[in-house]
Amino acid sequence: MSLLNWIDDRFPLTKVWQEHMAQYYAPKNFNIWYYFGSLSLLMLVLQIVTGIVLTMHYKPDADLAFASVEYIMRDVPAGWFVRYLHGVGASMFFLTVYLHMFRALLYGSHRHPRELIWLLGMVIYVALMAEAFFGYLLPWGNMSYWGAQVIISLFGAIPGIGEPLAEWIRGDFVISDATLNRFFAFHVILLPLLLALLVYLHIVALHKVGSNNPDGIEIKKNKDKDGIPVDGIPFHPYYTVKDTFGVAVFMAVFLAIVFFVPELGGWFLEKDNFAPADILQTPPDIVPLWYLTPYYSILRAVTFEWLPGGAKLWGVIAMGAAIVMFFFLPWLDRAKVRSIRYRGWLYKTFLMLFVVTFLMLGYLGTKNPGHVDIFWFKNLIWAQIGLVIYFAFFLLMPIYTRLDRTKPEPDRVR
Amino acid sequence: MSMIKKLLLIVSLLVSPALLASGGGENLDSVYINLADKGSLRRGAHTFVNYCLSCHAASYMRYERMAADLEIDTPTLVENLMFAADKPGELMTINMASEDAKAWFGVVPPDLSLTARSRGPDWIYTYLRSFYRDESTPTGWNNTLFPSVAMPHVLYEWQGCVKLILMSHTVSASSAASSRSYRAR
Repeated sequence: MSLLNWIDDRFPLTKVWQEHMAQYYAPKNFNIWYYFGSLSLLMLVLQIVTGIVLTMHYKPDADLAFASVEYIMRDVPAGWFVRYLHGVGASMFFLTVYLHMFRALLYGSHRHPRELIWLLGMVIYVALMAEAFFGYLLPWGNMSYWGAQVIISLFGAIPGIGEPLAEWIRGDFVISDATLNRFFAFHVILLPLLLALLVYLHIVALHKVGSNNPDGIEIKKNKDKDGIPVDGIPFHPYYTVKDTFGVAVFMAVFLAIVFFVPELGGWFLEKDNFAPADILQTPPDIVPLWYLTPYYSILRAVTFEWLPGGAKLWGVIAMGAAIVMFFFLPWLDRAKVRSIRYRGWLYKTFLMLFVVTFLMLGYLGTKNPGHVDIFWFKNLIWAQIGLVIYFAFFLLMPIYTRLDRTKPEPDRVR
Repeated sequence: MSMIKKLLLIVSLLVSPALLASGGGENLDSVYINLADKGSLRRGAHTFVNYCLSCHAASYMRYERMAADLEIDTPTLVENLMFAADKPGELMTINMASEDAKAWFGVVPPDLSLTARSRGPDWIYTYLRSFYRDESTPTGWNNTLFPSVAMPHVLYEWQGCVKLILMSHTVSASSAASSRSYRAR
Protein backbone atom coordinates (compact mmCIF):
# COMPACT_ATOMS: atom_id res chain seq x y z
CA MET A 1 0.00 0.00 0.00
CA SER A 2 2.85 2.33 -0.68
CA LEU A 3 0.83 4.29 -3.23
CA LEU A 4 -1.91 4.87 -0.66
CA ASN A 5 0.70 6.00 1.85
CA TRP A 6 2.18 8.31 -0.74
CA ILE A 7 -1.24 9.86 -1.33
CA ASP A 8 -2.14 9.98 2.36
CA ASP A 9 1.02 11.99 3.05
CA ARG A 10 -0.18 14.57 0.57
CA PHE A 11 -3.99 14.27 0.64
CA PRO A 12 -6.32 13.01 3.45
CA LEU A 13 -7.74 10.18 1.34
CA THR A 14 -7.94 7.46 3.99
CA LYS A 15 -9.03 10.01 6.60
CA VAL A 16 -11.94 11.23 4.46
CA TRP A 17 -12.96 7.66 3.59
CA GLN A 18 -12.97 6.69 7.28
CA GLU A 19 -14.78 9.81 8.49
CA HIS A 20 -17.49 9.83 5.84
CA MET A 21 -17.92 6.17 4.88
CA ALA A 22 -16.29 3.37 6.86
CA GLN A 23 -16.50 5.03 10.28
CA TYR A 24 -19.46 7.33 9.69
CA TYR A 25 -22.06 5.94 12.05
CA ALA A 26 -25.66 6.23 10.87
CA PRO A 27 -28.69 5.11 12.89
CA LYS A 28 -29.43 1.43 12.38
CA ASN A 29 -33.18 1.91 11.87
CA PHE A 30 -33.34 3.68 8.50
CA ASN A 31 -36.45 2.63 6.57
CA ILE A 32 -37.67 2.97 2.98
CA TRP A 33 -37.89 6.77 3.21
CA TYR A 34 -34.13 6.99 3.60
CA TYR A 35 -33.52 5.83 0.05
CA PHE A 36 -34.50 9.12 -1.53
CA GLY A 37 -31.45 11.13 -0.51
CA SER A 38 -29.02 8.82 -2.28
CA LEU A 39 -31.47 8.45 -5.17
CA SER A 40 -31.59 12.25 -5.55
CA LEU A 41 -27.79 12.27 -5.70
CA LEU A 42 -27.95 9.51 -8.32
CA MET A 43 -30.37 11.62 -10.38
CA LEU A 44 -28.08 14.66 -10.16
CA VAL A 45 -25.16 12.62 -11.48
CA LEU A 46 -27.31 11.02 -14.18
CA GLN A 47 -28.69 14.39 -15.32
CA ILE A 48 -25.17 15.81 -15.56
CA VAL A 49 -23.85 12.81 -17.52
CA THR A 50 -26.80 12.68 -19.96
CA GLY A 51 -26.73 16.47 -20.15
CA ILE A 52 -23.10 16.44 -21.28
CA VAL A 53 -23.94 13.98 -24.07
CA LEU A 54 -26.95 16.05 -25.15
CA THR A 55 -24.84 19.22 -25.20
CA MET A 56 -22.54 17.56 -27.73
CA HIS A 57 -25.38 17.42 -30.27
CA TYR A 58 -27.77 20.19 -29.27
CA LYS A 59 -27.71 23.62 -30.97
CA PRO A 60 -28.64 26.59 -28.73
CA ASP A 61 -30.01 28.64 -31.61
CA ALA A 62 -33.65 29.61 -32.15
CA ASP A 63 -33.47 28.48 -35.78
CA LEU A 64 -31.74 25.16 -35.09
CA ALA A 65 -32.69 24.08 -31.55
CA PHE A 66 -35.92 22.22 -32.31
CA ALA A 67 -34.43 20.38 -35.28
CA SER A 68 -31.30 19.50 -33.32
CA VAL A 69 -33.42 17.76 -30.67
CA GLU A 70 -35.14 15.73 -33.38
CA TYR A 71 -31.70 15.03 -34.85
CA ILE A 72 -30.71 13.62 -31.45
CA MET A 73 -33.90 11.55 -31.41
CA ARG A 74 -33.45 10.04 -34.87
CA ASP A 75 -29.86 10.29 -36.09
CA VAL A 76 -27.56 10.28 -33.06
CA PRO A 77 -26.83 6.66 -32.05
CA ALA A 78 -28.82 5.99 -28.84
CA GLY A 79 -29.64 9.70 -28.83
CA TRP A 80 -33.33 8.97 -28.14
CA PHE A 81 -32.28 7.00 -25.06
CA VAL A 82 -30.08 9.77 -23.69
CA ARG A 83 -32.73 12.40 -24.40
CA TYR A 84 -35.50 10.38 -22.70
CA LEU A 85 -33.21 9.63 -19.74
CA HIS A 86 -32.68 13.37 -19.37
CA GLY A 87 -36.31 14.41 -19.92
CA VAL A 88 -37.86 11.67 -17.78
CA GLY A 89 -34.92 12.09 -15.40
CA ALA A 90 -36.00 15.66 -14.64
CA SER A 91 -39.35 14.40 -13.40
CA MET A 92 -37.80 11.49 -11.51
CA PHE A 93 -35.33 13.90 -9.88
CA PHE A 94 -38.21 16.01 -8.59
CA LEU A 95 -40.06 12.88 -7.48
CA THR A 96 -37.11 11.72 -5.35
CA VAL A 97 -36.57 15.24 -4.00
CA TYR A 98 -40.25 15.59 -3.03
CA LEU A 99 -40.20 12.21 -1.28
CA HIS A 100 -36.91 13.18 0.42
CA MET A 101 -38.54 16.40 1.68
CA PHE A 102 -41.64 14.53 2.83
CA ARG A 103 -39.38 12.21 4.81
CA ALA A 104 -38.10 15.26 6.71
CA LEU A 105 -41.68 16.27 7.53
CA LEU A 106 -42.45 12.73 8.71
CA TYR A 107 -39.51 12.32 11.05
CA GLY A 108 -38.61 15.93 11.88
CA SER A 109 -35.27 15.81 10.09
CA HIS A 110 -35.41 19.59 9.64
CA ARG A 111 -35.57 20.26 13.39
CA HIS A 112 -32.76 21.42 15.68
CA PRO A 113 -29.79 20.82 15.24
CA ARG A 114 -30.32 20.14 11.52
CA GLU A 115 -31.79 23.52 10.49
CA LEU A 116 -28.85 24.36 8.24
CA ILE A 117 -29.12 21.03 6.40
CA TRP A 118 -32.76 21.86 5.75
CA LEU A 119 -31.99 25.42 4.59
CA LEU A 120 -29.26 24.18 2.24
CA GLY A 121 -31.69 21.55 0.98
CA MET A 122 -34.31 24.19 0.32
CA VAL A 123 -31.79 26.28 -1.63
CA ILE A 124 -31.05 23.13 -3.66
CA TYR A 125 -34.79 22.71 -4.27
CA VAL A 126 -35.17 26.31 -5.50
CA ALA A 127 -32.02 25.98 -7.66
CA LEU A 128 -33.47 22.76 -9.07
CA MET A 129 -36.70 24.52 -10.01
CA ALA A 130 -34.66 27.20 -11.78
CA GLU A 131 -32.58 24.51 -13.50
CA ALA A 132 -35.75 22.76 -14.70
CA PHE A 133 -37.29 26.03 -15.88
CA PHE A 134 -34.21 27.05 -17.88
CA GLY A 135 -33.85 23.55 -19.32
CA TYR A 136 -37.47 23.43 -20.38
CA LEU A 137 -36.94 26.27 -22.88
CA LEU A 138 -34.08 24.51 -24.66
CA PRO A 139 -36.07 22.07 -26.87
CA TRP A 140 -37.70 25.22 -28.28
CA GLY A 141 -41.10 23.56 -28.49
CA ASN A 142 -44.24 25.64 -28.40
CA MET A 143 -44.89 24.90 -24.72
CA SER A 144 -41.22 25.69 -23.93
CA TYR A 145 -41.70 29.04 -25.58
CA TRP A 146 -45.01 30.01 -24.05
CA GLY A 147 -44.16 28.61 -20.63
CA ALA A 148 -41.06 30.80 -20.49
CA GLN A 149 -43.10 33.74 -21.78
CA VAL A 150 -45.64 33.35 -18.95
CA ILE A 151 -43.11 32.81 -16.15
CA ILE A 152 -40.87 35.72 -17.16
CA SER A 153 -43.87 37.99 -17.60
CA LEU A 154 -44.56 37.39 -13.87
CA PHE A 155 -41.60 39.65 -13.12
CA GLY A 156 -43.57 42.33 -14.94
CA ALA A 157 -46.01 42.35 -12.02
CA ILE A 158 -43.42 43.93 -9.71
CA PRO A 159 -44.42 47.60 -9.37
CA GLY A 160 -42.12 50.16 -10.99
CA ILE A 161 -39.21 48.03 -12.18
CA GLY A 162 -41.29 45.06 -13.39
CA GLU A 163 -41.36 45.56 -17.15
CA PRO A 164 -37.72 46.68 -17.58
CA LEU A 165 -36.68 43.75 -15.35
CA ALA A 166 -38.59 41.21 -17.46
CA GLU A 167 -37.02 42.71 -20.58
CA TRP A 168 -33.55 42.49 -19.02
CA ILE A 169 -34.07 38.81 -18.18
CA ARG A 170 -35.29 38.01 -21.69
CA GLY A 171 -32.70 40.20 -23.42
CA ASP A 172 -35.49 41.11 -25.83
CA PHE A 173 -39.10 42.26 -25.87
CA VAL A 174 -40.27 38.68 -26.33
CA ILE A 175 -38.65 35.28 -25.76
CA SER A 176 -36.09 35.03 -28.54
CA ASP A 177 -32.71 33.67 -29.57
CA ALA A 178 -31.06 35.92 -26.95
CA THR A 179 -33.20 34.32 -24.22
CA LEU A 180 -32.45 30.82 -25.48
CA ASN A 181 -28.71 31.46 -25.42
CA ARG A 182 -28.63 32.80 -21.88
CA PHE A 183 -30.95 30.05 -20.61
CA PHE A 184 -28.60 27.53 -22.19
CA ALA A 185 -25.67 29.09 -20.33
CA PHE A 186 -27.59 29.01 -17.02
CA HIS A 187 -28.81 25.46 -17.59
CA VAL A 188 -25.48 23.86 -18.52
CA ILE A 189 -23.02 25.93 -16.48
CA LEU A 190 -24.34 28.19 -13.74
CA LEU A 191 -26.94 25.99 -12.08
CA PRO A 192 -25.16 22.63 -12.36
CA LEU A 193 -22.10 24.20 -10.69
CA LEU A 194 -24.30 25.74 -8.04
CA LEU A 195 -26.17 22.48 -7.47
CA ALA A 196 -22.94 20.48 -7.15
CA LEU A 197 -21.61 22.97 -4.59
CA LEU A 198 -24.88 23.06 -2.63
CA VAL A 199 -25.18 19.26 -2.55
CA TYR A 200 -21.59 19.09 -1.24
CA LEU A 201 -22.44 21.58 1.51
CA HIS A 202 -25.70 19.72 2.26
CA ILE A 203 -23.74 16.51 2.87
CA VAL A 204 -20.94 18.25 4.84
CA ALA A 205 -23.57 19.77 7.14
CA LEU A 206 -25.30 16.39 7.46
CA HIS A 207 -22.09 14.61 8.41
CA LYS A 208 -21.30 17.27 11.02
CA VAL A 209 -24.50 16.67 13.02
CA GLY A 210 -25.28 13.12 11.87
CA SER A 211 -28.43 11.67 10.40
CA ASN A 212 -31.84 11.79 12.03
CA ASN A 213 -33.86 8.55 12.03
CA PRO A 214 -37.49 7.37 12.01
CA ASP A 215 -37.63 7.62 15.82
CA GLY A 216 -36.37 11.21 15.75
CA ILE A 217 -33.99 10.68 18.66
CA GLU A 218 -30.24 11.38 18.85
CA ILE A 219 -28.14 8.22 18.60
CA LYS A 220 -25.12 10.22 19.80
CA LYS A 221 -26.61 10.31 23.32
CA ASN A 222 -25.85 6.61 23.76
CA LYS A 223 -22.22 5.84 23.07
CA ASP A 224 -20.13 2.82 24.02
CA LYS A 225 -16.69 3.03 25.69
CA ASP A 226 -15.01 3.68 22.28
CA GLY A 227 -17.26 6.66 21.65
CA ILE A 228 -19.28 4.88 18.95
CA PRO A 229 -23.09 5.29 19.08
CA VAL A 230 -24.57 1.96 20.19
CA ASP A 231 -27.49 2.39 17.78
CA GLY A 232 -25.22 3.35 14.90
CA ILE A 233 -23.81 1.21 12.12
CA PRO A 234 -21.00 2.21 9.73
CA PHE A 235 -22.35 3.80 6.55
CA HIS A 236 -20.06 1.53 4.56
CA PRO A 237 -20.78 -1.33 4.03
CA TYR A 238 -24.27 -1.34 5.58
CA TYR A 239 -25.91 1.63 3.92
CA THR A 240 -23.89 1.51 0.71
CA VAL A 241 -25.33 -1.98 0.20
CA LYS A 242 -28.84 -0.88 1.19
CA ASP A 243 -28.69 2.14 -1.13
CA THR A 244 -27.45 -0.04 -3.98
CA PHE A 245 -30.57 -2.15 -3.58
CA GLY A 246 -32.66 1.05 -3.66
CA VAL A 247 -30.88 2.15 -6.82
CA ALA A 248 -31.68 -1.19 -8.49
CA VAL A 249 -35.41 -0.95 -7.72
CA PHE A 250 -35.55 2.73 -8.66
CA MET A 251 -33.73 2.19 -11.95
CA ALA A 252 -36.16 -0.60 -12.86
CA VAL A 253 -39.08 1.84 -12.48
CA PHE A 254 -37.21 4.69 -14.13
CA LEU A 255 -36.11 2.65 -17.15
CA ALA A 256 -39.57 1.11 -17.53
CA ILE A 257 -40.90 4.66 -17.98
CA VAL A 258 -38.05 5.60 -20.34
CA PHE A 259 -38.57 2.55 -22.54
CA PHE A 260 -42.34 2.15 -22.54
CA VAL A 261 -44.06 5.44 -21.61
CA PRO A 262 -41.51 8.28 -21.84
CA GLU A 263 -44.28 10.89 -22.15
CA LEU A 264 -46.25 9.33 -19.28
CA GLY A 265 -49.49 10.50 -20.83
CA GLY A 266 -48.25 14.08 -21.17
CA TRP A 267 -47.08 14.35 -17.54
CA PHE A 268 -43.36 13.99 -18.25
CA LEU A 269 -43.26 15.29 -21.84
CA GLU A 270 -46.08 17.51 -23.02
CA LYS A 271 -47.80 17.01 -26.39
CA ASP A 272 -47.63 20.69 -27.27
CA ASN A 273 -43.86 20.57 -27.02
CA PHE A 274 -43.63 18.38 -30.09
CA ALA A 275 -44.59 21.41 -32.17
CA PRO A 276 -41.86 24.03 -32.71
CA ALA A 277 -42.00 27.37 -30.90
CA ASP A 278 -44.40 29.70 -32.69
CA ILE A 279 -44.87 33.28 -31.56
CA LEU A 280 -48.19 33.46 -33.45
CA GLN A 281 -49.71 30.30 -32.00
CA THR A 282 -50.48 30.35 -28.28
CA PRO A 283 -51.32 26.87 -26.91
CA PRO A 284 -54.90 26.69 -25.54
CA ASP A 285 -53.62 25.89 -22.02
CA ILE A 286 -50.14 27.00 -20.99
CA VAL A 287 -49.02 24.80 -18.10
CA PRO A 288 -45.64 23.95 -16.61
CA LEU A 289 -44.69 20.34 -15.86
CA TRP A 290 -46.20 18.62 -12.81
CA TYR A 291 -43.39 19.47 -10.38
CA LEU A 292 -44.09 23.20 -10.64
CA THR A 293 -47.90 23.07 -10.95
CA PRO A 294 -48.70 23.30 -7.20
CA TYR A 295 -47.18 26.80 -7.22
CA TYR A 296 -48.75 27.61 -10.57
CA SER A 297 -52.13 26.74 -9.03
CA ILE A 298 -51.47 29.10 -6.14
CA LEU A 299 -50.52 31.85 -8.59
CA ARG A 300 -53.74 31.38 -10.52
CA ALA A 301 -55.89 31.02 -7.39
CA VAL A 302 -55.42 34.70 -6.52
CA THR A 303 -58.06 36.37 -8.68
CA PHE A 304 -59.06 39.20 -6.38
CA GLU A 305 -58.70 42.35 -8.45
CA TRP A 306 -59.72 44.58 -5.52
CA LEU A 307 -56.37 43.91 -3.82
CA PRO A 308 -54.05 46.95 -3.94
CA GLY A 309 -51.67 46.49 -6.86
CA GLY A 310 -53.95 43.99 -8.61
CA ALA A 311 -54.48 40.23 -8.52
CA LYS A 312 -51.41 39.37 -10.61
CA LEU A 313 -49.01 41.01 -8.14
CA TRP A 314 -50.61 39.22 -5.18
CA GLY A 315 -50.63 35.96 -7.10
CA VAL A 316 -46.88 36.28 -7.61
CA ILE A 317 -46.43 37.15 -3.93
CA ALA A 318 -48.53 34.15 -2.86
CA MET A 319 -46.54 31.87 -5.16
CA GLY A 320 -43.24 33.16 -3.79
CA ALA A 321 -44.50 32.92 -0.22
CA ALA A 322 -45.60 29.32 -0.82
CA ILE A 323 -41.98 28.39 -1.50
CA VAL A 324 -40.48 30.65 1.18
CA MET A 325 -42.73 29.03 3.83
CA PHE A 326 -40.68 25.84 3.61
CA PHE A 327 -37.55 27.70 4.73
CA PHE A 328 -39.15 28.56 8.08
CA LEU A 329 -40.30 25.03 8.91
CA PRO A 330 -37.58 24.29 11.51
CA TRP A 331 -38.75 27.27 13.55
CA LEU A 332 -42.49 26.92 12.92
CA ASP A 333 -42.53 23.40 14.34
CA ARG A 334 -42.73 23.64 18.14
CA ALA A 335 -43.47 20.02 19.04
CA LYS A 336 -41.48 18.37 21.84
CA VAL A 337 -40.81 15.34 19.66
CA ARG A 338 -39.49 15.10 16.11
CA SER A 339 -40.90 11.90 14.67
CA ILE A 340 -44.47 11.37 13.53
CA ARG A 341 -44.34 8.13 15.53
CA TYR A 342 -44.61 10.10 18.78
CA ARG A 343 -46.72 13.01 17.62
CA GLY A 344 -50.45 13.40 18.27
CA TRP A 345 -53.32 13.38 15.80
CA LEU A 346 -53.17 17.15 15.15
CA TYR A 347 -49.85 17.09 13.29
CA LYS A 348 -50.74 13.84 11.54
CA THR A 349 -54.01 15.34 10.31
CA PHE A 350 -52.44 18.59 9.16
CA LEU A 351 -49.59 16.78 7.40
CA MET A 352 -51.94 14.43 5.55
CA LEU A 353 -54.19 17.35 4.63
CA PHE A 354 -51.15 19.23 3.36
CA VAL A 355 -49.98 16.30 1.21
CA VAL A 356 -53.44 15.86 -0.31
CA THR A 357 -53.66 19.63 -0.90
CA PHE A 358 -50.22 19.73 -2.51
CA LEU A 359 -51.16 16.90 -4.88
CA MET A 360 -54.54 18.50 -5.61
CA LEU A 361 -52.94 21.88 -6.37
CA GLY A 362 -50.46 20.07 -8.60
CA TYR A 363 -53.26 18.38 -10.50
CA LEU A 364 -55.29 21.59 -10.80
CA GLY A 365 -52.24 23.45 -12.10
CA THR A 366 -52.50 21.38 -15.27
CA LYS A 367 -56.23 22.06 -15.73
CA ASN A 368 -58.27 24.99 -16.93
CA PRO A 369 -59.35 27.01 -13.84
CA GLY A 370 -62.83 27.55 -15.28
CA HIS A 371 -63.60 23.84 -15.68
CA VAL A 372 -64.95 21.34 -13.17
CA ASP A 373 -62.45 18.48 -13.06
CA ILE A 374 -62.94 17.25 -9.48
CA PHE A 375 -66.25 17.18 -7.65
CA TRP A 376 -68.80 20.00 -7.76
CA PHE A 377 -66.85 23.26 -7.76
CA LYS A 378 -64.88 24.93 -10.51
CA ASN A 379 -61.16 24.21 -10.41
CA LEU A 380 -60.57 27.80 -9.32
CA ILE A 381 -62.61 27.33 -6.14
CA TRP A 382 -60.70 24.12 -5.33
CA ALA A 383 -57.40 25.93 -5.91
CA GLN A 384 -58.51 28.72 -3.55
CA ILE A 385 -59.49 26.17 -0.90
CA GLY A 386 -56.11 24.52 -1.47
CA LEU A 387 -54.32 27.84 -1.05
CA VAL A 388 -55.95 28.38 2.35
CA ILE A 389 -55.06 24.87 3.57
CA TYR A 390 -51.53 25.20 2.18
CA PHE A 391 -50.78 28.35 4.16
CA ALA A 392 -52.72 27.17 7.21
CA PHE A 393 -50.39 24.16 7.43
CA PHE A 394 -47.42 26.50 7.83
CA LEU A 395 -48.87 29.50 9.64
CA LEU A 396 -50.85 27.52 12.23
CA MET A 397 -47.97 25.11 12.82
CA PRO A 398 -46.60 26.88 15.95
CA ILE A 399 -50.07 26.51 17.47
CA TYR A 400 -51.09 22.97 16.56
CA THR A 401 -47.66 21.45 17.15
CA ARG A 402 -47.65 22.90 20.67
CA LEU A 403 -51.23 21.83 21.41
CA ASP A 404 -50.61 18.35 20.04
CA ARG A 405 -50.53 15.57 22.64
CA THR A 406 -47.25 13.81 22.00
CA LYS A 407 -46.11 10.42 23.25
CA PRO A 408 -42.81 10.05 25.13
CA GLU A 409 -39.79 9.29 22.98
CA PRO A 410 -37.89 6.06 23.68
CA ASP A 411 -34.28 6.18 24.91
CA ARG A 412 -33.01 3.89 22.19
CA VAL A 413 -34.08 3.49 18.57
CA ARG A 414 -36.45 0.61 17.94
CA MET B 1 -47.82 4.13 9.38
CA SER B 2 -47.35 0.53 8.43
CA MET B 3 -44.97 -0.55 5.72
CA ILE B 4 -47.89 -1.49 3.46
CA LYS B 5 -49.38 1.98 3.72
CA LYS B 6 -46.06 3.58 2.87
CA LEU B 7 -45.63 1.35 -0.14
CA LEU B 8 -49.17 2.11 -1.27
CA LEU B 9 -48.45 5.81 -0.96
CA ILE B 10 -45.34 5.51 -3.11
CA VAL B 11 -47.12 3.39 -5.69
CA SER B 12 -50.01 5.84 -5.84
CA LEU B 13 -47.58 8.73 -6.25
CA LEU B 14 -46.01 6.96 -9.19
CA VAL B 15 -49.22 5.74 -10.79
CA SER B 16 -51.75 8.50 -10.20
CA PRO B 17 -50.36 10.93 -12.81
CA ALA B 18 -50.78 8.29 -15.51
CA LEU B 19 -54.37 7.62 -14.47
CA LEU B 20 -55.27 11.28 -14.30
CA ALA B 21 -53.73 12.13 -17.62
CA SER B 22 -56.41 10.61 -19.83
CA GLY B 23 -59.16 12.59 -21.50
CA GLY B 24 -59.08 15.12 -24.32
CA GLY B 25 -61.21 18.04 -25.40
CA GLU B 26 -62.38 17.01 -28.86
CA ASN B 27 -64.58 14.09 -29.85
CA LEU B 28 -62.18 12.01 -31.88
CA ASP B 29 -62.66 8.65 -33.51
CA SER B 30 -60.16 6.26 -32.04
CA VAL B 31 -57.71 4.32 -34.14
CA TYR B 32 -55.38 1.53 -33.14
CA ILE B 33 -51.93 1.77 -34.71
CA ASN B 34 -49.96 -1.42 -34.29
CA LEU B 35 -46.33 -0.33 -34.33
CA ALA B 36 -45.25 -3.98 -34.64
CA ASP B 37 -47.13 -4.42 -37.92
CA LYS B 38 -44.34 -3.40 -40.31
CA GLY B 39 -46.42 -4.22 -43.41
CA SER B 40 -49.09 -1.76 -42.35
CA LEU B 41 -46.48 0.88 -41.52
CA ARG B 42 -44.79 0.38 -44.93
CA ARG B 43 -48.14 0.85 -46.73
CA GLY B 44 -48.61 3.99 -44.65
CA ALA B 45 -45.18 5.28 -45.68
CA HIS B 46 -46.07 4.59 -49.32
CA THR B 47 -49.33 6.56 -48.99
CA PHE B 48 -47.49 9.33 -47.17
CA VAL B 49 -44.79 9.89 -49.81
CA ASN B 50 -47.38 9.71 -52.60
CA TYR B 51 -50.11 11.92 -51.18
CA CYS B 52 -48.61 14.12 -48.48
CA LEU B 53 -44.93 14.62 -49.18
CA SER B 54 -45.39 16.98 -52.14
CA CYS B 55 -46.83 19.84 -50.07
CA HIS B 56 -45.95 18.78 -46.51
CA ALA B 57 -42.38 18.02 -45.51
CA ALA B 58 -41.22 15.59 -42.85
CA SER B 59 -37.95 17.42 -42.57
CA TYR B 60 -36.79 15.97 -39.24
CA MET B 61 -36.80 12.48 -40.77
CA ARG B 62 -34.30 10.93 -43.18
CA TYR B 63 -35.34 8.40 -45.85
CA GLU B 64 -32.59 6.14 -44.54
CA ARG B 65 -33.90 6.34 -40.97
CA MET B 66 -37.45 5.53 -42.12
CA ALA B 67 -36.22 2.62 -44.22
CA ALA B 68 -34.20 1.21 -41.33
CA ASP B 69 -37.13 1.53 -38.90
CA LEU B 70 -39.63 -0.02 -41.33
CA GLU B 71 -37.15 -2.69 -42.50
CA ILE B 72 -37.17 -1.57 -46.15
CA ASP B 73 -34.08 -2.41 -48.22
CA THR B 74 -32.32 0.42 -50.06
CA PRO B 75 -33.26 -0.53 -53.69
CA THR B 76 -36.95 -0.77 -52.70
CA LEU B 77 -36.68 2.56 -50.89
CA VAL B 78 -35.04 4.34 -53.84
CA GLU B 79 -37.50 2.92 -56.39
CA ASN B 80 -40.77 3.22 -54.52
CA LEU B 81 -40.49 5.87 -51.86
CA MET B 82 -37.90 8.45 -52.90
CA PHE B 83 -39.50 10.84 -55.36
CA ALA B 84 -38.08 14.09 -54.07
CA ALA B 85 -34.53 13.12 -53.12
CA ASP B 86 -31.39 11.65 -54.67
CA LYS B 87 -29.70 9.97 -51.73
CA PRO B 88 -31.18 7.80 -48.94
CA GLY B 89 -29.37 9.93 -46.38
CA GLU B 90 -31.36 13.04 -47.27
CA LEU B 91 -34.04 14.60 -45.10
CA MET B 92 -37.64 14.21 -46.26
CA THR B 93 -38.02 17.77 -47.47
CA ILE B 94 -40.14 19.12 -50.34
CA ASN B 95 -39.37 21.24 -53.39
CA MET B 96 -42.25 23.68 -53.07
CA ALA B 97 -40.99 27.11 -51.99
CA SER B 98 -42.56 28.64 -48.90
CA GLU B 99 -43.51 31.83 -50.79
CA ASP B 100 -45.33 29.79 -53.43
CA ALA B 101 -47.13 27.77 -50.78
CA LYS B 102 -48.26 30.96 -49.11
CA ALA B 103 -49.52 32.36 -52.39
CA TRP B 104 -51.37 29.19 -53.32
CA PHE B 105 -52.81 28.03 -50.00
CA GLY B 106 -52.57 31.11 -47.78
CA VAL B 107 -50.33 29.22 -45.34
CA VAL B 108 -47.19 27.13 -45.52
CA PRO B 109 -48.30 23.51 -45.06
CA PRO B 110 -46.94 22.43 -41.67
CA ASP B 111 -44.13 19.91 -41.29
CA LEU B 112 -45.62 16.51 -40.49
CA SER B 113 -42.65 14.76 -38.80
CA LEU B 114 -44.17 15.12 -35.35
CA THR B 115 -47.90 15.53 -35.93
CA ALA B 116 -48.62 12.05 -34.56
CA ARG B 117 -46.89 13.11 -31.35
CA SER B 118 -48.27 16.62 -31.00
CA ARG B 119 -51.86 15.87 -32.06
CA GLY B 120 -52.00 12.11 -31.74
CA PRO B 121 -53.01 9.30 -34.17
CA ASP B 122 -56.71 9.69 -33.31
CA TRP B 123 -56.66 13.29 -34.44
CA ILE B 124 -54.98 12.44 -37.78
CA TYR B 125 -57.39 9.56 -38.38
CA THR B 126 -60.42 11.74 -37.66
CA TYR B 127 -59.06 14.70 -39.61
CA LEU B 128 -58.40 12.71 -42.79
CA ARG B 129 -61.97 11.35 -42.69
CA SER B 130 -63.68 14.66 -41.88
CA PHE B 131 -63.42 16.48 -45.22
CA TYR B 132 -66.64 17.47 -46.95
CA ARG B 133 -67.63 19.35 -50.09
CA ASP B 134 -68.02 23.10 -49.50
CA GLU B 135 -68.32 25.38 -52.55
CA SER B 136 -67.77 28.51 -50.47
CA THR B 137 -64.07 27.78 -49.81
CA PRO B 138 -61.22 28.39 -52.30
CA THR B 139 -60.40 24.69 -52.56
CA GLY B 140 -64.01 23.52 -52.62
CA TRP B 141 -63.42 21.45 -49.47
CA ASN B 142 -63.88 22.01 -45.79
CA ASN B 143 -63.32 19.91 -42.67
CA THR B 144 -65.54 19.38 -39.61
CA LEU B 145 -62.55 18.85 -37.31
CA PHE B 146 -60.52 21.74 -38.76
CA PRO B 147 -63.02 24.39 -40.00
CA SER B 148 -61.84 26.57 -42.94
CA VAL B 149 -58.88 24.29 -43.49
CA ALA B 150 -56.58 25.55 -46.28
CA MET B 151 -55.97 22.08 -47.70
CA PRO B 152 -58.19 20.25 -50.20
CA HIS B 153 -59.34 16.65 -49.69
CA VAL B 154 -56.26 14.87 -51.00
CA LEU B 155 -57.62 11.37 -50.41
CA TYR B 156 -60.80 12.28 -52.29
CA GLU B 157 -60.37 9.52 -54.87
CA TRP B 158 -60.44 6.96 -52.09
CA GLN B 159 -63.28 8.32 -50.03
CA GLY B 160 -65.51 9.90 -52.67
CA CYS B 161 -67.46 13.12 -52.42
CA VAL B 162 -68.67 13.75 -48.90
CA LYS B 163 -71.70 15.90 -48.20
CA LEU B 164 -72.27 17.64 -44.86
CA ILE B 165 -75.61 16.95 -43.24
CA LEU B 166 -76.31 19.07 -40.18
CA MET B 167 -78.72 17.64 -37.66
CA SER B 168 -79.86 19.21 -34.45
CA HIS B 169 -80.87 17.05 -31.50
CA THR B 170 -82.45 17.79 -28.20
CA VAL B 171 -80.35 16.17 -25.55
CA SER B 172 -80.43 15.85 -21.79
CA ALA B 173 -79.02 18.66 -19.68
CA SER B 174 -76.01 16.61 -18.66
CA SER B 175 -74.59 16.68 -22.17
CA ALA B 176 -75.97 20.10 -23.11
CA ALA B 177 -72.49 21.24 -24.00
CA SER B 178 -72.62 19.16 -27.16
CA SER B 179 -76.22 19.91 -28.14
CA ARG B 180 -75.33 20.18 -31.81
CA SER B 181 -73.60 17.31 -33.43
CA TYR B 182 -71.98 17.43 -36.82
CA ARG B 183 -71.75 14.34 -38.90
CA ALA B 184 -70.18 13.98 -42.27
CA ARG B 185 -71.64 11.40 -44.61
